[in-house]
Amino acid sequence: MQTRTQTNNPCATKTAPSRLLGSLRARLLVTALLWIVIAIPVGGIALALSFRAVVAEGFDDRLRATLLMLIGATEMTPDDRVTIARPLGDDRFDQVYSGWYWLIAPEGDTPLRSRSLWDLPDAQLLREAGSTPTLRTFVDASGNEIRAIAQRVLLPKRTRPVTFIVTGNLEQVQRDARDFNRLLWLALITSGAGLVVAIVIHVAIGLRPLQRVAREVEQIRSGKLSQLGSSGLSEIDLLVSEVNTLIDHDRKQFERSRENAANLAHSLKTPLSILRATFEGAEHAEQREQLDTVQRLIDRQLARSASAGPRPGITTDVEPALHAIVNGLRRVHAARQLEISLECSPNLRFAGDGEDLEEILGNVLDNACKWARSRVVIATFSKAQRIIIRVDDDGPGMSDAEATRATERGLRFDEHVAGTGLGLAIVSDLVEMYRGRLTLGRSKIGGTRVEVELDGASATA
Amino acid sequence: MRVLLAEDEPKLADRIAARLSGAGFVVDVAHDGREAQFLGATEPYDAIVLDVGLPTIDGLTVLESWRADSIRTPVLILTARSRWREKLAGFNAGADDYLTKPFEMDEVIVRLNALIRRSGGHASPALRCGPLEHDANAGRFTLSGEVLELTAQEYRILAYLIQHQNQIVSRTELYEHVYERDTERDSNVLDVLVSRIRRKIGSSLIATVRGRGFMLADTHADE
Repeated sequence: MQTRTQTNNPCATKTAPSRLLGSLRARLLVTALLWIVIAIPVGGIALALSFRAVVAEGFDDRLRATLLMLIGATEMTPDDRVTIARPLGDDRFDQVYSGWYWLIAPEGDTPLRSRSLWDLPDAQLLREAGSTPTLRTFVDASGNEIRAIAQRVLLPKRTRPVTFIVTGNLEQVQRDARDFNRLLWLALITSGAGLVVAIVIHVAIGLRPLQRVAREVEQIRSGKLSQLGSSGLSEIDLLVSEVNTLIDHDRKQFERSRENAANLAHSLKTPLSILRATFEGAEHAEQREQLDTVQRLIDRQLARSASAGPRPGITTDVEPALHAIVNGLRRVHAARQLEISLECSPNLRFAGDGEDLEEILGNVLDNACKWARSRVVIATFSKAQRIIIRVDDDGPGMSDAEATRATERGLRFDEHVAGTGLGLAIVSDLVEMYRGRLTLGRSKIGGTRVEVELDGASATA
Repeated sequence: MRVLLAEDEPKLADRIAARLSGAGFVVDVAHDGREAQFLGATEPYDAIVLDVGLPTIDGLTVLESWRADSIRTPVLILTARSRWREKLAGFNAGADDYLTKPFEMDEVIVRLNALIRRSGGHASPALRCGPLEHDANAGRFTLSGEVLELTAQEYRILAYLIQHQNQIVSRTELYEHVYERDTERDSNVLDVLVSRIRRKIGSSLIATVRGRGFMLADTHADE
């Protein structure tokens, strides 16, 4: 019983919902991607900001140097006016609205300015300028973002201070930052993409042994394998050996219960035989009828408890079992000159226990031989992961009602040939246990056609 | 027809033996494997009914040992286990037919008759020799359609002769197949019985072959 309930729902694991994070792969991928999505932009932004800071610092340094140069190039004329001793040597100070300006504003005197500077200097800048350089950013009249440095210097031989201002166009800083950012993000995105690919591969490689185990478990269930193979990985092999032990234990337990059933059968049958022999004759019809019922119940239940049902890792070659049974039946029916023809496609494997297959084949064929007038035609073949066993006889055939009753539980449809009453009912039980199909119909050669469809395949692969 | 019944359960063995005797068989009973093995190997049985679950040596081993010794006597196995695995094991060991316990007594007789008939090379269920016809399952002979009144011993002799018709059957052979083991042999008794049978079926059907035995044959067919 225990073994049967276990096999009732073997598909449960197959239909797991494909929720997000419902798989190990998805979890690994999502967590890794989450990290990439956070880490790469944060790193990128930090890098971009610090680069910009460095560039801006460099720009300021250049402005300071230019300011010092401007101060150094300034001379006083004999008439106490301010003049530039030599040009600053940068064309941009000559281009109008270039954003690169300088201004020398002696207090109480006309200021000197670069050619590029047409407008008056920012008054606020002039006011703010102190003895140390002051830096400020503002937007000029033509919309340039301007960085300015201002310093009030007391020139020698002059009592009133001179304010020096140098400005630079921040456009270059921005261009540098933009160029850098473009390169930075290109590099980050490339490495991010590379990382994603690497993680996908990593996860795939990491999970491959698990998938192999899952596939093997599936093959065990469908009977293509009997044991899980070692993966050579310590973590997986722990699972593999546990599963193998479980399968083995299950098998032994079943063998024990089958043995018990057989022993019980043996110990019940002999007393029943004696009882039956005791109640011979017409006057004991009532007792014999009761005995028949007892016997039928015992046979049916014993047949059930002795059947293995679909069990992981067990398959059976159809052909040898079929040949053994046909040979036996040929011997039993030798006197009747019964023609039993057999067409078995090679390498058919039934996904189940050998004894169960023998029970199914034996009962179906025995039944066909008992009813046949002269011919029984057997054909087996595979169709879409199923094996089909088709048995035709040229006997009297069955009516539709008889065909329905034949496979019903506990019914004895054949009262004429001893011992066959249970045959098809047992087959029906077994076929149901294996989620197969049993159909009875009319045969083209005149009698009954019995068709059994079971899980299995052609094992040519 | 002489058969060996190997069945360890005494009550069941008695019942089967009684029914078989009633149906015209001469029955020797063996109660364990060793005895069955010995009897089957040494006595000339026409058929053997063998229980698979015998003590000392199990039935299938006994059967295998017979087959290994080229003993081709047809064997009907009785098995308590109704699984095909056991039936197939029986066929592998050399069984000719099987019956699953519990069984109808009539079924044993029908199967035994079929086995014996088949081993004699006869296909049809009714054996015929001229006007004489043997219905083994009903346990009777008819002569031109009339049921013959025969004693048990006469019936056995005639059944053996018709099974081996057109062959010379020696007195020893006839004796072995119509009497139980350990019966004291007196060949005069056979001659007396055969002459009684001749009186009932007509003298032309059974010929005495001097020094060799008897032969049942439809002599008119040859002429």
